[in-house]
Amino acid sequence: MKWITYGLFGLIVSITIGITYWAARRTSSASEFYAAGRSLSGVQNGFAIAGDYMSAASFLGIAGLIALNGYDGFLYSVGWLVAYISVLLIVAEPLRNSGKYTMADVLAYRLKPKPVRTAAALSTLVISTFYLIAQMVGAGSLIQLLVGIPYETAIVIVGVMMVLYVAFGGMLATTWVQIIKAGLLMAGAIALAIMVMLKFNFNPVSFFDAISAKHGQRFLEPGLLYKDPIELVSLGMALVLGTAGMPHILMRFYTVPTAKTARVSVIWAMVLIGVFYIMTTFLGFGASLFLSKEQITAADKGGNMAAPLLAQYLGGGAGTAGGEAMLAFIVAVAFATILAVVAGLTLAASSAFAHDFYVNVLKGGKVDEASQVKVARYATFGVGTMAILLGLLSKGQNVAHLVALAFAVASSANVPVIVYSVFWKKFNTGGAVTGIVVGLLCTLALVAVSPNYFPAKEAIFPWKNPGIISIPVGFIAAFIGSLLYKEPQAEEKFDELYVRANTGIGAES
Amino acid sequence: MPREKPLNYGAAEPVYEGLSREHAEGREEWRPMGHSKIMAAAGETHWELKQPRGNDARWAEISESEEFRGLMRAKAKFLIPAIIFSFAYYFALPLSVGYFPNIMNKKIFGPINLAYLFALSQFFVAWAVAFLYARVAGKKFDTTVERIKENVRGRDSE
Repeated sequence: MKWITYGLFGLIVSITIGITYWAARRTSSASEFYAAGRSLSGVQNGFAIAGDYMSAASFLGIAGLIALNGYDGFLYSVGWLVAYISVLLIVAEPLRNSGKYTMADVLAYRLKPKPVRTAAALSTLVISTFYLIAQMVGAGSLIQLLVGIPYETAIVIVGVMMVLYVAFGGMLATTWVQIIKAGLLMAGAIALAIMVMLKFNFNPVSFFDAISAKHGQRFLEPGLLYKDPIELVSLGMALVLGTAGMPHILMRFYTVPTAKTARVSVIWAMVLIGVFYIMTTFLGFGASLFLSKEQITAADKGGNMAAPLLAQYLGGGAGTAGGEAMLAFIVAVAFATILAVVAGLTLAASSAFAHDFYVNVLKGGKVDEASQVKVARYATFGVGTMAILLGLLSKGQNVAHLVALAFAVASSANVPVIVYSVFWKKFNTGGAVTGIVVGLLCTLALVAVSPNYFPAKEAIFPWKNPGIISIPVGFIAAFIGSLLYKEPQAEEKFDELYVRANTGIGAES
Repeated sequence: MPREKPLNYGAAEPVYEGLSREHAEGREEWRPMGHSKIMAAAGETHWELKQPRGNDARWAEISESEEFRGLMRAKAKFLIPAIIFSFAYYFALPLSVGYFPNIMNKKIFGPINLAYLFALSQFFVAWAVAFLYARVAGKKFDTTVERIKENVRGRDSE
């Protein structure tokens, strides 16, 4: 079994290295490095968004949540698709029309570039770092679990791979790694779901009858995992708004030539992501049917092994050639999934540092093309090293909540200022800096005193997810900050941004 | 896709805008106006656009034009209700399973209960809103945007 897995891992590594080599020869300007030359089609970018977004946590984690907790696991998965409504209706097109490489470009358009870029780079780095730590720790423990490579080795392999993709192949290589991953992940999820439903003649009623018979109807009812509806609403707010403020997702809209293509790419991403999460329910419930709870939790307490074990069962069971081949395939899909997500995050973090902070804040924009790309590559090495170190240091820590925290920061610090910047004339530098800083600090402070770090009874803030408080605080802070600060120039330039964001006149091409 | 030309309002000379240093710095398209000795003598740097992009008045003209205002009205008329509906529909799910479990646990098809169908419907509702938006934007908004661009080009070539 190990050799099939190693073979498939080797295949993924060599294909992605090949892509990186190909992409590196096409990546010399800043626009090629950060935005793949704005040359992607809507379908390509749609696949890449899906590949950037669906992490191993959603593939293995949600299947496990459903396998162990039934309905509530499914409830959790819904927000991940609905999130794209905000992306589609509010940010994708205005962002494409008014920015260049990063989210901060939109803010800097009519506000004072230095303070707003510094603030936006800070929040981007915080979000990407939290998300990266969660992904790295997840990657280390999953690869250890799946193939038996030690945690530390796994972290270093993943870290080196992501740095290679991003540093040499830039956005183009990252994109194709994400496209391939999305294809593999969709194929894997759909194949497993079909194999599960084949056993029930594709009749959902008999499928659910079997679940109800094995685990009782209670398993199909809400309340096994989430006791407090407010907790779920708070998490939902962070997911549904936060996706529209995730730097690695927002960056993807600069890779297409027009706002219309950006729109088409969100639609494609929504189809892929939606189908994927619906399939995941068949995997989760399927695993709960064909495997015993003990089997799943013996392999991993969190249920991360539910989907791989289900694949092994469907292929013929442990020890059979079919079973081992299926297991190896799903493990390889999970590996590709991890690589694609961390590459996207590394690119976003490096851009925030190189493009926003170094080029535009420290150097006042006076940096030639070749040096811009060079700095971005150095930043990638820096981010990669930091991610590997943090991954190694966080071994054995419970980092699952860092994903939700990243979304909470994105929704509280980034989303208010993006929305105000494009839609509110009186918004200004004071509002942007206040909004980002207060949104960020409020989120971090609430989480620091939440049940994530304290026993439930002692926690000052009663919910694990701060969104329900921190998002309104972010909006209010940016609003008040704008009112207290006078900046007529920001108002004068509003018409320009407003027209450009909504029509694409003068947009980067 | 034809490449969008940067807006040039037909100005023969770059348009000088007296932007202050803190606004101009960090914008790649700005450069200090180096050729004015008087200003240099006064110890002041003024800034100009590397590519003449036009002045605020011309952008304001577009933003106040009937077509653009019509576009924004049409967008608001679609987007605001669509966003409110989508969020309301989404948050109704955790609230109703949390506060009305008895209703949500009602079985509809065999063991499949209302809670499951409501959660599943979220996917189809999100898709429906997205497709509807793509349709309306493709048919209505994009056409208006094209017309606005045509007008701008027409005025520039005068």
